[in-house]
Order: sequence, then structure tokens, then C-alpha cells
Amino acid sequence: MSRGASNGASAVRALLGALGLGMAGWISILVLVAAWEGVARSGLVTPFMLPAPSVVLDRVWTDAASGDLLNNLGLTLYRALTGFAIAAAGGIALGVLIARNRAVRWFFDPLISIGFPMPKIAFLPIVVLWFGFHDVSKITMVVFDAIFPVVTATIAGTQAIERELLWSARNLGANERQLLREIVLPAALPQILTGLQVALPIALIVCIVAEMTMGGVGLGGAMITAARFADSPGVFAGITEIAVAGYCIVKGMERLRRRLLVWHQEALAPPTV
Amino acid sequence: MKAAFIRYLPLVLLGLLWEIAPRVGLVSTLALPPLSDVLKAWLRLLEGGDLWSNAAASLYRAGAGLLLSIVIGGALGIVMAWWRPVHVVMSPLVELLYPMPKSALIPVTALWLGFGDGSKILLIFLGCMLPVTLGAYNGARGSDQALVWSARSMGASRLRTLWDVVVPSALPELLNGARTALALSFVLLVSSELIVSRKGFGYLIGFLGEGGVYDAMFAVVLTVAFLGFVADRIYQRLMKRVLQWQE
Amino acid sequence: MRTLNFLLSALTAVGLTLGAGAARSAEPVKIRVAWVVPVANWPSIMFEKPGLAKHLGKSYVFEGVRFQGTPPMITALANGELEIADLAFASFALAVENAGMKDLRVIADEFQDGVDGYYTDEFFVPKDSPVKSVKDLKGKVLATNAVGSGVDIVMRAALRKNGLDDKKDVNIVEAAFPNMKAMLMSKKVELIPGVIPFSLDPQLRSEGRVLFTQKEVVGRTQMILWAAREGFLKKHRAVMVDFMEDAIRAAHWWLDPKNHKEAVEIAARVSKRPPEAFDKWLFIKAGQAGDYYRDANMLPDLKALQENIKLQHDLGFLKANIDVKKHADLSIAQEAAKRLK
Repeated sequence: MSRGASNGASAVRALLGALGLGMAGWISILVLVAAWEGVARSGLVTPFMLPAPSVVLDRVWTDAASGDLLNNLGLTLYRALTGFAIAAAGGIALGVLIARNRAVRWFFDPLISIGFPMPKIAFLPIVVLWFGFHDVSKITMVVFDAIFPVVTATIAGTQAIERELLWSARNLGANERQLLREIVLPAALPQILTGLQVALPIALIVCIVAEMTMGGVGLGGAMITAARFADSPGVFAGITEIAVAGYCIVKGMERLRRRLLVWHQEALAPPTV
Repeated sequence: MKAAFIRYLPLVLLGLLWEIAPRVGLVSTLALPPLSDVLKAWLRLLEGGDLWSNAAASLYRAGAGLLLSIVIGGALGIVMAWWRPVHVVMSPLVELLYPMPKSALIPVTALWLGFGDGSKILLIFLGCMLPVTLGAYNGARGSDQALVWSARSMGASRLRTLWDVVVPSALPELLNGARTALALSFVLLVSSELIVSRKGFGYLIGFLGEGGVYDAMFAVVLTVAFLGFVADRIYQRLMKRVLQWQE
Repeated sequence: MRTLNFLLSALTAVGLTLGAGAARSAEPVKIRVAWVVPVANWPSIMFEKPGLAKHLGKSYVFEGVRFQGTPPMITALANGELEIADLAFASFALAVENAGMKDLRVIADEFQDGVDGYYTDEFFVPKDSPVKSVKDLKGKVLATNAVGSGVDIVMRAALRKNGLDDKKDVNIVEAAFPNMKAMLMSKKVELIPGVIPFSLDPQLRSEGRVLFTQKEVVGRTQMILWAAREGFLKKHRAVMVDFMEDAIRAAHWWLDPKNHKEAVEIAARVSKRPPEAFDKWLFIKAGQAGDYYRDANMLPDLKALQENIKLQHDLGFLKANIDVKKHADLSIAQEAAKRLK
């Protein structure tokens, strides 16, 4: 192999490594794309029902070249991640308070039980009336939905801390703040992080659904416009873009978890192969 | 009785807020009817019998999707944590799926399953899988290495170790994941029925919203929320029981 | 030997007769029809009055399916999950052109806008708004229900006719029809399209002012129509005529002023709204206080449809114009109407 080619190969390997995928990890994705191409060409479906991957990827490329992709993707990510950040900070704070304070727990406990399963999309018109058509209403919907898994995971994690641990820490003279910072939060961290890992895709999903309902710009808005114009490649391009962007974000969160929990059991390789 | 009233008092307070806010103009009554109007509409719906038949259709779909997600998702999460090859193959697919709005996948699921119950159950299953698989995976990964080694060194087979050590230590996270999945199943059943349906809570919410009949629409929304509330309370009690028994 | 032969031929004869009989009384054909808005769309209500559909359950089985909008209808048609879609003119053209459904045929009318004596959509501004003519809308925020929809095209046509660029000179946002009144009243938007039943709301009519009507801008519109695929129509033509016969008989019943009170009661039950919400206008011919024009024999206005689609093309929403006549098959509706004479 020439110098250039081997450099290229190692660059690809580095990129894959960054994405958290060894060579083997690509197999399932490649199989999926191959199956997609196969079905699209088989004649079982029309190009409208399932456009071929080549057509869809070409559309993604055109969108990227025209800057549309960056605009829409950027806007959606901005809204989803801002909402997620607010839900994360607020959710953890609220969760810890609920786990440790009886009055707060009394107030929020039934509210969480009823708010979590509520189809909150029904309140979108109200949110739009209050906050308008732009980013704020979408961010609000994201926070509304994403905060619940964070709160429940934080409560579960905080409450699960072994009593012995707290008792011996108090015995050694730790005050409440030290207790919180050095015992409670680190011990609850794995479950809190799981809550965040659940909330993040939810944030993205809710943002896109809100955009689909309200139209306009953003990945969701672009997809619904494509759907209205029976522009099937546009719809599938949107699905692909969401899948890739979402995957990168989920993987990013996973790396963050590994970094934060480097001291924990789970950082070790699984006990069996 | 009194204890129950005190415990659920915040809901009563929220209800009062819902009644007062539209009336004093904090929210436009056009968008949010006062709670009393919503309750009146709810009684009318109940009398008309619509709630029952639609409830049956929705709860069947949500139940099936939820059950599949807990069983398959939980097993998948634990197996992915335990066997590296499974993780390598499944995790890209699973992680591609997590952040995808399931209603956006309808053009794809419609190809196989059309627009009937099957596709709705599939969407609910896929959506509920997220918290269960993540919880199971993280919980299983966190199993105490020392326990695993000692079990293996005492001659326990891999499967036995899995069942006796890994699953119990994954249980708290798995159970919390299932709680999230339970709540999500109600949200997802509505969103999966909004697009195309002939029956169900989502169907009711969709056409009532379309017609601007907001008092009845919110009555259905509250029905879903209350069913989810009851389910969550029951589940939490069960969860406590299981975790206690585990100790 | 002879007896055996005789028996065998007798059995064969019986077998053939039974077989032929079975073929004739085959499974009833499933006809799934889409609808979006209850009552306004025929499929949601037309067979709710028992006795109107004589062939129901015999040659066909009817299923009304609610769709959130047109895109899933097109997907369902393509997948064979839906037999008859009720599409706006704009969506019909897009289905033929963009979704490649060249075999889609217009088969019946749902309702038409701008027919003399009947309702035409009105576009409202706030009563005290400084906007006095369409030109004054420059720089303002306008509401539409969906980009590229029927009313959306009319609104953009109005803008263009008055020298405004619909993409640059105004800001168009999307909202659901029921929410538009609140948006207008709270000054979030300057203009809303008014369709039945929302445009008949007394509060909207007192707090809002009509800036222009759809009839003024585009004349007559074939707003919503029924469309089906040619393959299905050919294969089950006889059954389709039965179905259309029942549908047209139903349309006659619903449109008959004698049945108004009962119609209102059923409409209220189906839509979960009080009868008062329908009483004054449902199926009534009363200009701007009444209902849209619904053809009693469910025949669409193909000439208006062709012009509407041409407008859609001129505005840039359609890649290529469509010859409506090539994509219409009114023979089934016409034959069914003859049966009812």
C-alpha cells in the first residue's frame, strides 16, 4: 500500500475509534444498509415507498452542500441540547431535594407520577400561545418531557445509598454539605447518569416532534415539509440525518459516562467474554 | 383514608390551579378550558361509552409493547453487558434507534406492518426499549467483580453466575428503567395513534383536537394521565417489595 | 357401472354448481376510506344513519380511518392500506406528481369552495388592525395550517396578486385551525385563514374583520375530493358502483333540509360537540352563514380542479402541471347516480 493509502486507512481507523466503533462495529450498520438497498431494488416497493440508499445519501449530500443541513441540524441540536441541559441541572437538583426533604417529596411525588405518563404534546398549543413560534416553545417542551427521567433516576440513586455509608460518614464528622458532595452524589452518580442517558434521546425526540407539529425550520420542520410534498427522499434523508446525529450524541454521552465513572466497577471489562 | 388524602393533596392543588388560571386569564380559555369544563366533558364521554371501547384498544397495544420492551429490552441489555460480541453487533443498531422519533419511522414500519395494531405495538416497543435496555446494561455492568469471581471460582457456570449475581445486581436499575418505560408507554401509545387510527385514546385526542373540542380532548388526556398515575403507584409498590425481598 | 358414472357426473355437477355459487358470493370487498375532520369529511359520518347503505356488509365492508393529514394517506395508498383517500386538490396533485402515483384517479367530490350561494373561506385580520388591504400585510406574521395546503396556496396567490413575495415579504407560521382564533386575538399573528366550522365562530366574527375571501382570489375551488387507484377501481368496479350508490344516497339524505334536525343530532354525537355548534349551518345553503357546496351526486368540478392545480404549479409548489382529465374517473359515480334516479 502506498504511503497515502495507509495514512488514509489509519485516519479512517482513528475516526472509527473516535466514534467508538471498532471495525467489527460497522458490520451491523453495513448489513442494514445492504438490506435497505436490496429491498429498494427488488421491485417489492416503489421508489416512493422506499427510496434507495444511494438516492437518500445523495440528498443528504445536497442538503449539506447547500448549507440547509447545517442550519436545520444546528437549530434542532441547539434547542434539544439547551432543553436537555436545563432538564439535567433542574432534574438533578430537584431529585436530590426530593430524596432528602420530606416536604418537597410530599409535594412533588404525586405530581411526578401523573406528569410522567401524561401525553404532554397536548399542551403544545398553550406553550405556543405563551412562548411564541420560535426556539423557546420547543425548548420548553423538551424540558417538560426530559426532566422526568432525570428526577426519577436521581431519586432512585440517592435513596439507594447504603445507610451504613451515610452513618459512618456522619460518625466521622462529615457535615451535610460534605455528605452531599463527597458521599451522596458520587454514590448516586451511576443511576443519575443512566437517567441522563435516557433523557438525552428523549430531548432530541421531543424537539423533533415539536418541530414536526409546528413546522418551520429545524430537522423536524424540514421532514414534515418534505412529507407534505410527497418528497420521499427528503423524508428518508431526514430520518438518516436524525439517526446519525442522534447516534453521535448518544455515543458522546456514553463516553462521558465512562470518563466520569472511571473509578467504578463498570469501568472494568465485563467479567466474561 | 386521611393519609391518602394528604399524600395526594398536591394533585388537588394542581387541579385548583387548572380551574383558576383559565378563569382569571393566565391562560386563554380557548387553549385550556377550566378543569370543571373538562370534567363535565369527561362525564359526557363516559356516558356515551366512547372511553371504554377506545380504552380497550389502547391499553392492549400499550401493554403488549411494554411487555415486549421489558422482556426483550431487559434481556438484551444484560446480554450486551455480559457478552462482548453481542454488544459489538447490537449496540450500533440500538443506539441508532434511541434518539429517533418513532413516529418518524412510520414510513418504514408501514412497509411491513401497515397501519394496524402491529405497527403501533412495534413503535411502543421500540420507544420503551430505551430506558429498559440502558438500565439493564448499566446495572449489569456495575455488578460487583468480587462476587462474580467468587461465584465462578466456586464452580458456578457462566449462566448460573449470570442469573445469581449479575441479574440481581442489575435489578435496581432495570426496575427503574421499567418504571420509565411504563410512563413512556402511555405517552407513546397516544403519539403512535395520532397519525393513523380508528380507535384508541390517541385517536380520540387527535380528532377532538382537530375539531377544537378542547374540553373533551383534555378529558381524554387526563384519563390517560390518571391511568398512568395508577399504574405508576402500583408499580412503585411492587418495586419496593421486590427490592426488599432481594435484600 | 352405469350407476357409478351417473353418480360421478351428478357429483361433479353439484360440485361445479356449488363452486360457481361460492365464487359469486365471494368475500365482501374491504373499502377503507380516509378522513381528517369529523363531520366535514363524508366518511366520518355518511353511514352513521342506519339504512342508507344498502350494500354495506354484502358486496363491501366499509371502514372509515382517521388520518392526521395527507402525507400518511399517500403512504397508505401506496402500501395498499387504504382504498379511497380524501385529499385536498393540492395534495392530489402532489401524490400524482411527486409520489409517482400516476394511477391515482379522482372519483368523487367532498366539497367545493366559492360556489354561488354557498360558503367561501374568509381570511381574517384583527378588527382594529391597521391592515386595510393585502398590500399592508408586508412584514407581518401570517398563519397557515400547513405549507402547500389548499388554503395556503390561496393565501400566497392573494399575496402575489398584490405584488408581495410570499417567501420574502411576510413571515408565515403554521398553526392548527382551532388555535388560530386565539393567535389572532392575542396578536401573535396578523392574518388567519378561516375555514368552516372555525370561521363561523361568533367571537371571531365580532373580533375579526374579513380582509379577503377565497372566491375573490381564485374563484371556484375543488377543495377536497375522493381519490382511488386505478388498479383497485378496475378490479372491483361493480363493488365500487355499489359503494358509490350508497354514498350518493347518503349524500342525498344528509343534504335534504327535511332531515336537518336529525343530521345535526348525529353530527353532534359523532364529533362530541353540542348540537348548537352545527344547527345554523350544517349542510345549509346560506351564503357566508352556511356550509360549503357539496355536490348531491358527489361529482367534482374538474374544470375548477384543473385551474386550482395550475395555480399550484404557477406558484412553484408543483413540479409539472397535470392533465386532470387523464387522472379522473367519474364513470363510477355517474353510473351509481343513475341507479338512484
